[in-house]
Amino acid sequence: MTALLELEGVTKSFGAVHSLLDVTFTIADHGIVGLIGPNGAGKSTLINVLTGVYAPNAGTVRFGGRNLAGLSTAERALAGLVRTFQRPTPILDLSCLEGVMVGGLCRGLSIAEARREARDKLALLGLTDVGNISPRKLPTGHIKLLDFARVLMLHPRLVLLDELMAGLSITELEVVQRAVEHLATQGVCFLVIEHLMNVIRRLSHHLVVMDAGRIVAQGQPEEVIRDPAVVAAYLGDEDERTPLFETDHA
Amino acid sequence: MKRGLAIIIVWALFAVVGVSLQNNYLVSVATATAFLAVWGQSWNVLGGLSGNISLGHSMFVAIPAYVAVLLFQHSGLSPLLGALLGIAAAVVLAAVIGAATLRLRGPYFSLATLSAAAVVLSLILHYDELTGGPSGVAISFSKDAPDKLEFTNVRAYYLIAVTLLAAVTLCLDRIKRSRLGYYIAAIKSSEEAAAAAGIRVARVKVLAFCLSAGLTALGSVFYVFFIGFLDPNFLASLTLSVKIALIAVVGGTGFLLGPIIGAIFYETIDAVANAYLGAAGGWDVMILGFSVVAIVMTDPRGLCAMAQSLWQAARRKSKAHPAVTKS
Repeated sequence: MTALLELEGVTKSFGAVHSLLDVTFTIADHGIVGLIGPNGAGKSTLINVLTGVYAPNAGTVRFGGRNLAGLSTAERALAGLVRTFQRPTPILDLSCLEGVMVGGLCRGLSIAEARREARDKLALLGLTDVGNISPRKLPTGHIKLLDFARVLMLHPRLVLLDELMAGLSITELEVVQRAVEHLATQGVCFLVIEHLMNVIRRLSHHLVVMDAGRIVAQGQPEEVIRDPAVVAAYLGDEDERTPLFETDHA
Repeated sequence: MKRGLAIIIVWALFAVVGVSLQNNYLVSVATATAFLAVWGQSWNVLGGLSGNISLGHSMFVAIPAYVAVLLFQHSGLSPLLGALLGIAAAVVLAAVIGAATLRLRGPYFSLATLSAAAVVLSLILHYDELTGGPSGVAISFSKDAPDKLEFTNVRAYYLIAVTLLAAVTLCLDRIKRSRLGYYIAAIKSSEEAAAAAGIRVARVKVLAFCLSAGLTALGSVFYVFFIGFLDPNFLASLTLSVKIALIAVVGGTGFLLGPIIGAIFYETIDAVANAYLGAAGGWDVMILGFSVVAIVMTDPRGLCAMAQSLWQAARRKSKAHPAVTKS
């Protein structure tokens, strides 16, 4: 097992607040990794550091053996490290199909080639009949899927899904999970951030838990979920049993 | 293809109507309007497509005009060659300003372009031995000479202007549907998402700015030979910068016809107010100001969007039962 993504001692602080503190972990070159943690644990900061939005204060990030320091978000995306956004980001002035094509064009495809492949990606995500419509007319769930399709056009090696599945309909959720599983068998790796525990438990081969900027546990999903440190991070006080298992509704 | 044909038909229509006008003054006004529309259309390449509002486009009007005219006056260089040098100068300037300022978001880019244009005006006024300073330079005219862009009949300039307008409009249409156009559209919606899709955001924005500057410059060289005079207080003015942005926005940035409608709207009010109310009172500016506010309050997407929604409403009404359509 070789590593696709390696983080070593990554620290990111904003003033006195450490959003990431000495984060060290690796993602193997196959499979689906789940990342959970309470709000403010540093999950989104981690994605922003990985995609080059923030430069870390310390530590190194390697992707496919290459140090990513100094590379822009676009360069990382072209190298195969892509992300989706928690808040969907449709391209309002283009049709849905054109918005998806953009990822392929960046990879160097011609407009005709990109159009053909974009149709395939939309079909994979169950969006066959939205091609020529403006994304303004679509519900949020569909728009999130368009974002996903756009980055898939880059033929990524690792996809960071930042709460892609929150707010999707049950049908959409099923389609996305099947697509992720299908792509994973073809060698695409995923880092899935979700609050939906049943999704995480179904998809992840490996689970990482963050709290207060640190990694507090990682390993087999079912074992990690029962880890006392994880339970403490999530549930804190005995009296306030909220997130971990109750957020299972889709 | 269909849009290309439509552009050519509209071009032919404008050309025939303009040339057959008997009144020279009206043809001059129409020519000035067409040039303004050329600049608005060029401005749209960055402003309309990417949403980065330049308030300094007069520098891309002034610099190529000065380059072409001064080279023509001092060394007899053909204005057509001068135009190429002028366009090159504008593109280089746009690349430098763009690289420095397009990383800025929101109003900062607008402020930076506004200041850059103010610097250009000051430089023109300061180096008066070269530029003629505030009194400008008159282009010495003798006889009809197409290679020197000298025509005694104003209709020649009118034809040049509407042809340029058609060319720039076709160009914008092509850009919109090109790789670059898709990238610019993505950047307009969200720079973060564009970068995440692999788009080199800064590079694309600078490229769009350069294209916009180059097209603006193309129009300006022909314009200044039409006017026959280098007037820094018009060519390099803040008023012109604002006017270019204004007509594009008032017409509707999402529409190929936008700057054309915007320019006609602006010049018509301007001409009518000047003719009937007198230029001295500033009535033209006041009327323009109020109408712009009224348009933006009614539909911020501009006159074309207004016309479009009126037309759609009318069509819906004619299709459906009259009692049901009231909404």
